[in-house]
Parts: sequence; structure tokens; C-alpha cells
Amino acid sequence: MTIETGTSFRLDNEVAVITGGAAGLGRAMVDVLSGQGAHVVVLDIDAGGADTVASEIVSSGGSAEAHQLDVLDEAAVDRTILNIATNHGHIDILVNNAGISQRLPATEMPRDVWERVMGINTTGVFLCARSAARHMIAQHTMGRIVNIASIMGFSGGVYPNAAYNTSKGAVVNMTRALAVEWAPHGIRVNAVGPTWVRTNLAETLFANPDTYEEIKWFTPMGKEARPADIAYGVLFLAAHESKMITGHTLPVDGGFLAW
Amino acid sequence: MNEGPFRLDGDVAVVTGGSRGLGRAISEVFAEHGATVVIADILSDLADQTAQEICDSGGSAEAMTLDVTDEEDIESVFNAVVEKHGRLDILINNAGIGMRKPAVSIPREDWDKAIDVNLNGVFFCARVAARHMIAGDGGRIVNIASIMGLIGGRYPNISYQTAKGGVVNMTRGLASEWAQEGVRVNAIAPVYVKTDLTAPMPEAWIEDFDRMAPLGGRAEPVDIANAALYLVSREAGMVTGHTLPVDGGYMAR
Repeated sequence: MTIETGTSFRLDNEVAVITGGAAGLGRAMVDVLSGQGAHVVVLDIDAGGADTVASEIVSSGGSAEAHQLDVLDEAAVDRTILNIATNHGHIDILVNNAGISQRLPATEMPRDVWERVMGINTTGVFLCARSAARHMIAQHTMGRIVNIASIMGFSGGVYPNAAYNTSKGAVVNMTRALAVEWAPHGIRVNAVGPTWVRTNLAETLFANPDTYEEIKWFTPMGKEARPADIAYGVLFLAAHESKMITGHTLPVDGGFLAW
Repeated sequence: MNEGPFRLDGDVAVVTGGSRGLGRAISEVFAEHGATVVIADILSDLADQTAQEICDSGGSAEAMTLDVTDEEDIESVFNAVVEKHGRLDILINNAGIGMRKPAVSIPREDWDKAIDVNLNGVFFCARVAARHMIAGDGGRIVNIASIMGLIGGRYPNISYQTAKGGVVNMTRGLASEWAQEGVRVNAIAPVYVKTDLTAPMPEAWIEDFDRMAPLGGRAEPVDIANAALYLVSREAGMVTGHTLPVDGGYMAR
């Protein structure tokens, strides 16, 4: 084949930082981005889990490192991102994947729980994006930032989850705002909006037959996603092949938002 | 030979309007990723030439004559594809025309023609293709909409905007209707792309796109083709009913 369209989705020589990379969706993103040639930096509040993932990537021939990070700790975010940028000379990709869910009725939501969800899911995304963008701008890396939002950033949902839905709606519009602000520096900012995915975060939902039935009923394709489905959405948005896409949230949702 | 994810080996893909512009880039990228591409175009000679060039480069392609406003023509083209290859996996509804005329003065026949090609043609191709896909192993359909299907735009273009807005919601409707049949339906909403279709546009309009879109308002055909590749790939197996803007950030503003 001698057709040369330049379409390869390779990430060779690129440094990709993934928050919450030790498990679930983040783990799948580590595998997929590493498989495309990126050096993957696994950040997670679970230091042991992050180390294990990085070691597994290295043993299977990939390139990876791990650092502990609490995305709510502003100084730690800046220090960690600075270290990565200094050691490698560039940060090309940031995936803001770390997130939590606290499913409580709004009337019973304690303020500290609300603030913790907003903190990790929204402020944490901003702190990591801001820190990475400073280096991307200084290093002229044409960086790409991919935020993990949710279909619940567009939908009121099907059970009480106001804090999570609010935080993800904020990520959807933060994605637009940062995309506009950083476009002159060649930085693209996009998001993926996953449906329900079978991970530890959602384990209690799938364990409840009524809730699982509801999830399937509300989804045209009648099923939940796999972590790899989300990871490939991230790859598409992080790759140079999507160079004209910015500010967009790509739903990977089995059609949830279509009906 | 392109390795890695987003391979289309064994897939048979029909690309309407595939002889030039976006359709040609889509045909090339799909062929590079292993698909057998059927270039279905009203421009028979150009379709033959494009298919030949893809074959000369080592890809698998063939040309068929198709007028997307002719239901009988659509039936016979898709029947012929399935008869020859035994399957139909992918349809790209790319054929479209421009009709940039003010609402107060666009002649009825121009309105009808724009709706016929840009909206009705998409539906009739999609449903004939879906019959084969549902009877087979399922399939993937990508409609080429436009950001003009999502916003009003800055110059008179009402018939095109109406048709493309229809395509955006047709995409949701067909995705919902066929989700359980294994047929995914998505769309792409390109910003301005330099092609024969957009060649008559004055430079001032294109500069407006540049100002509206933070990354600049000029996409290349391959940008659209890469998005189409993602959407039809097995790696996007949970994406359906979505219109993906390839717009330099126009919609984010």
C-alpha cells in the first residue's frame, strides 16, 4: 500500500500524563496510549496502584513512570507537572481522568461531600490543565488536553446524582472555554463523555439489578461501555489526526444522548 | 501498510460522492486501512479515475454510478455491491451540493434540489444500506452534515442549513431506531473545507470562519476522513447518534 494519508494515530516520542491512571478507565487509557508509542506518566492518589501499572507497561515493552498525586493539592499538582516537564523537556498530552462519584439525593447532600465532588471533578481538572498548559505554551508542544466528562454533563440522569452531574456539566463548558483561550498556542482541549462503564466507581450500580436494568433501558444500544471504548475516544482526540477538533465533548454513550 | 487500531480489513464501504473532495479523502483513508471501497458518484468518469488511482496505490476500490436522488438507482447500486461482495459494512453519506442563496429570493426549484440531495438522498441511501446491514452483520453509517446544521452561519445559505440540520437529527433518529439491530449511525459537522463545492465562496466568508473558529476555520479533507475513520471503526463501537464537529473550535465559541 503506497497511499500516504498520514493517518496512523501514532504517539511516538510524546509524553502523555494520565490522572487516575491506576485503575478503571485510566488504566485502559494507559494501555492504549502506550500501545501507540507514548511515554505514559501514571498519576494517581493510589501510589502503589500507579507503580504497579507503570511496571506492567514497562515489562510488556512500553515506556511508563508513576507518581502519586492528589489533584486537589495545588502545590503538588504544580510540582509534579513541573518535574515531568523538566525531566522530559515536553508534555504533549494530559488526560484529566481522576474523578469521584457520591450518589446522594440533593436534599440530603452534606456540604463537605458536595465540595469534595466539585473539588476533584472540576477544580482538580482545572488545576492540572492550567499547570500542564503553562509548560505546553512555554515548550510550544502543540499540546492536547482530554478531560473525562460524562453523559451526566448533558443529562439530569436517571437517579439522584446532582453533585456529579453538576461537576461534569462544568467540565463540558470548561473544555470549551480553555479550548478558545489556548487555541492561539496550538493547544487543543476536548473531552469524552462516557456512559456507564464497568469499573470500581460504578460497581454498586451494576450490582443492583434494578439500576442495571434502568441503565440498559435508557441506552439505545442496551448495554454499558467497556473501559477500552472510552480509551479509544481519548486516543482519537489526543492524536494529531483530530488536529481540527477542539472544545468538543465526544459522547461514548451507546446513543444515550440521542433519545 | 498501516498497522494498529482503526483497521477496516474485510469491510466493504460505500462512499457517496467519493470521487473528489471529502469523499475522495475518505475513500483513500479507508482503503489505506484495509477496506474495500465502492466510490458511488454521479460523476462516473471521475469515480472511475479515483478508484483506479486507489487501486494503483495498492488499495481495493471500484466505482459505481449513483444519483442519490434516484431511489431505483440507490436500490440497484446497493444490491450490486452486496451481490458482488456478499456484504455491506459501511456507508458514508457524503454526496452533497451547495446552494448559497438568500431566503427571500431562492427559487423553489433550487430549494427542492438542495433538500433532495442533501437531506432526502441521505435518508434513502441510509435505509437501503441498513436493510442489507440488518440482514448481515450490522454496520456503520456516517452522514456528512455541517456546522451549518448546528448554527445559522454568517452568510445566506438557508436550504443547506435546513437540510444539514435535518441530517443532524436524522442521525439521532436512525441511531435510536437501529441501535438494537447492530447499526451505528453518526455524523460529522465540518467547518469550511477547500473543495470544488466551496470554490465559489468569497474569501471574506472564509475569513469569517477563521475569526469564529479559534484554531482557524479551514479544515483539510483528510481531517474529515480521519474523523470518519474513527466513527466507523470497531474502536468506536459505543458511539452512536452523535454529530462530531471538525470545526477548529467554531462550536465552542
